[in-house]
Amino acid sequence: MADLKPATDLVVGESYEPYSFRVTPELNEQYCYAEEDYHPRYRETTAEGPPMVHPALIMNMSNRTRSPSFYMPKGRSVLHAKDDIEFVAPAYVGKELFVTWTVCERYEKRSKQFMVIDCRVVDEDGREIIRRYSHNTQIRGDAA
Amino acid sequence: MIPLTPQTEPGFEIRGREYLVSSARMRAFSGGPFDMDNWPLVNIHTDMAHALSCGLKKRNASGTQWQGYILQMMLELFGTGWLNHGKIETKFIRLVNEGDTVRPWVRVTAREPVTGGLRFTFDIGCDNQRGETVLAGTASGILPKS
Repeated sequence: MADLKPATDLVVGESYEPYSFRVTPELNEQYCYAEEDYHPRYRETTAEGPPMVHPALIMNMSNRTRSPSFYMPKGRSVLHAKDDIEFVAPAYVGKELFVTWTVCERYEKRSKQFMVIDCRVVDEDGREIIRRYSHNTQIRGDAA
Repeated sequence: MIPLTPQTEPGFEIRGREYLVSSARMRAFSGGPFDMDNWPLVNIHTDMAHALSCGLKKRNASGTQWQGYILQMMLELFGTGWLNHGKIETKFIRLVNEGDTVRPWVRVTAREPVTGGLRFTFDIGCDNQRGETVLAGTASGILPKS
């Protein structure tokens, strides 16, 4: 942990360690439960194709907090301020997804520091799934 | 499926149903896969002590959790084709805490012909149980020619 830089200290051009995960039926169901969205398209083959990954799963699993190199000191956390997302293709259950994050901008607004993360998600076949720009700031407790 | 037709005019508004952001659903969303050895992950969404240590008054839900309610509405409007071309821009205005209810809505602001169909543009938002806006933004999608 001591070798990791706090997530908010990265500069423009630096990247977090990429992350990959396989979307199992169980993981997809977990997000369907969390989202109260039980559409059949997420668990069985339909006229639309094989079971699809719930888009909220992709959004959550592509938060930079999923990166193996994401680290914040005790008493500090990041807060999501804004998202700009383009959906490129659906993802399918059973596939492995690969997530990358690169800091593309830093700015100050209302005395707070913000960081913009360029996030890309592709599947194991190289299909691009989403392009996402997330704006984040940080919060801290009195002890931090 | 929410009825979106080539005749749908700007100003058309759809309000989704209310969602209770419960502790169980927050943990399912933000705690990592259920089969992790150390589930749930400790973060401001799953752990009260951690949330308090970061200066929050309660655990709050991940913005992507209620952003997902808007994604559901876009899929109801456009079908899964939206996942091939849809765009969404969201600002997280207020925190959503455990026990809050959130209701998403979308309002058509523009309709224009594009190659392959009609592009609809929307203002989007989510309100909490006090009527306060917690998320605001825009979205767009293409209704294909039938």
